[in-house]
Amino acid sequence: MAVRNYLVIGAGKAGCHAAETIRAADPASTVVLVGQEAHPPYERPPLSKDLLLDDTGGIADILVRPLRELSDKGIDLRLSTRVTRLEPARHVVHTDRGTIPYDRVLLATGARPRSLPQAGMLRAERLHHLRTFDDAERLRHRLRDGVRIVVIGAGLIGLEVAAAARARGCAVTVVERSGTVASRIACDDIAQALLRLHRDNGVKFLLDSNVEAMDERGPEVVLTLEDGTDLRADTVLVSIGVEPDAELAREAGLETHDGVRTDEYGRTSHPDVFAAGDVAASWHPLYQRHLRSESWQTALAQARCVAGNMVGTEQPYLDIPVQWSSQNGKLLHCAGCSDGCDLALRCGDIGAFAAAVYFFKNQCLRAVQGFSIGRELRAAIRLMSAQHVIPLQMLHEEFDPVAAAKAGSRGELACQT
Amino acid sequence: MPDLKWFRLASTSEVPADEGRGFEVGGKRIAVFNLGGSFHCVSDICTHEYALLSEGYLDGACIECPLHGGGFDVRTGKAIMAPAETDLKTYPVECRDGEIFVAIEVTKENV
Repeated sequence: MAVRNYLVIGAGKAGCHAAETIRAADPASTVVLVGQEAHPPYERPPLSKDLLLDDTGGIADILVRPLRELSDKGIDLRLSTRVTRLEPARHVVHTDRGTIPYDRVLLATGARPRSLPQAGMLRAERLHHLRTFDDAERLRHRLRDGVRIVVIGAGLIGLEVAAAARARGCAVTVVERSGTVASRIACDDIAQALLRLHRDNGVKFLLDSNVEAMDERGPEVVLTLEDGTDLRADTVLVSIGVEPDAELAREAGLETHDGVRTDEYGRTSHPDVFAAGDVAASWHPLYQRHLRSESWQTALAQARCVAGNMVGTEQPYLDIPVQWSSQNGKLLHCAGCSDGCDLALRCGDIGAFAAAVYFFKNQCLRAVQGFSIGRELRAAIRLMSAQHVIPLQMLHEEFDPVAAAKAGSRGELACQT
Repeated sequence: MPDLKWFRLASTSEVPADEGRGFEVGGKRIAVFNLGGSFHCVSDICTHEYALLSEGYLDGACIECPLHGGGFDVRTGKAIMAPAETDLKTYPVECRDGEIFVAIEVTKENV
């Protein structure tokens, strides 16, 4: 077989694991990993958690791999390089540092934070987004005792930052457009528990509120809400979600819709262009729809699976999407997709943050969300993957996914076909 | 070879079949797993990130970490499922008269 040239665009977690996988599976190939940031691949979960708390934390603490390891493996890592154009028909990409030919390319470009047009007039030092290590460092410098921070958007990032900012002595106000928190991933029970957790920690919430204007007046920012209320702040974080970085694919004429569309193998509408991680909206056979999962676990497992397929493995990616969040010492896990479910079972003690909500459709477990679930989560993922039909006598408020999963592995449960 | 010291961990009835329990003995966190009556001891702390494996899900001989789902073979300590990459330390284990004993290296702390 001729030597193949593999190119991975995006040197985040997904890109890093993909490059390693390709290298291990096809040692004779060349593997180029291109990243726009100046930093080698790093883990993003700490950016909104530990890294905001620890003034001595640096990039070296969160690297996916020690830098030497990538070069030792023969991965050609090119940082501070922006890919400007993808030409699938010619098998070449253009960067601000020249062109790179390839035989197969992976788009692992990730996502970027949404911006708020009303924030356009603020100076950079007062306005923050949180996506990169540099963003986190900049934000950490601002989180000082007594500083007033307004967090716009009560998603997981906003809530995690609110917790960190409180720990650093800031006065924190969260402004959220909807009537609840973490609404994209959490059901109402979980959201209410999160809300209480943060309120008890001194975070002020303004729900059902929109920021209409932001102005700098002297040393402070004045945020005007729709109802005319003025909020004063020293620092503003806009955390209203991310947009997949799908421009390269879109401009190259590949199919995109909320990300780069792929089949279950990670292949885009061009057979030599693949996508994985935050940017990929991939067909999921279990859910029978395209799914784009912004999660650490997807960046790891999907990237490895798709990278294997680039080399020729032909393995569909079937993992259940999982997300976790750590806030004020409470660990939240969410897995699966709860849309279209016909039964929700609330188990455990939500007041003690030892609880889970299980979602079922036709007696099959489809999603779980909960605090302090470890064993239950792992068992639940097995039940979801296998599409086991849970006997009715097990479906009550003390539903035990561990017992059900054990029954499943003993062959005692039917599977939905 | 460092000297080993035997510690009593639990009675066998405290660790039901196909389950695991975590203990702190001799300055170490040790997990013991019961695979159909045969007991296996490994370090209770996941090699990927801090989490107690005894709080994970045991499937056959594979313990799945409760935090990120890394998997280890509890008989050998081998990391067999991502994101786990580094093997777990294993400890010699013996059962006598319904009691489980584990052998741990002698250190300044546990003499």
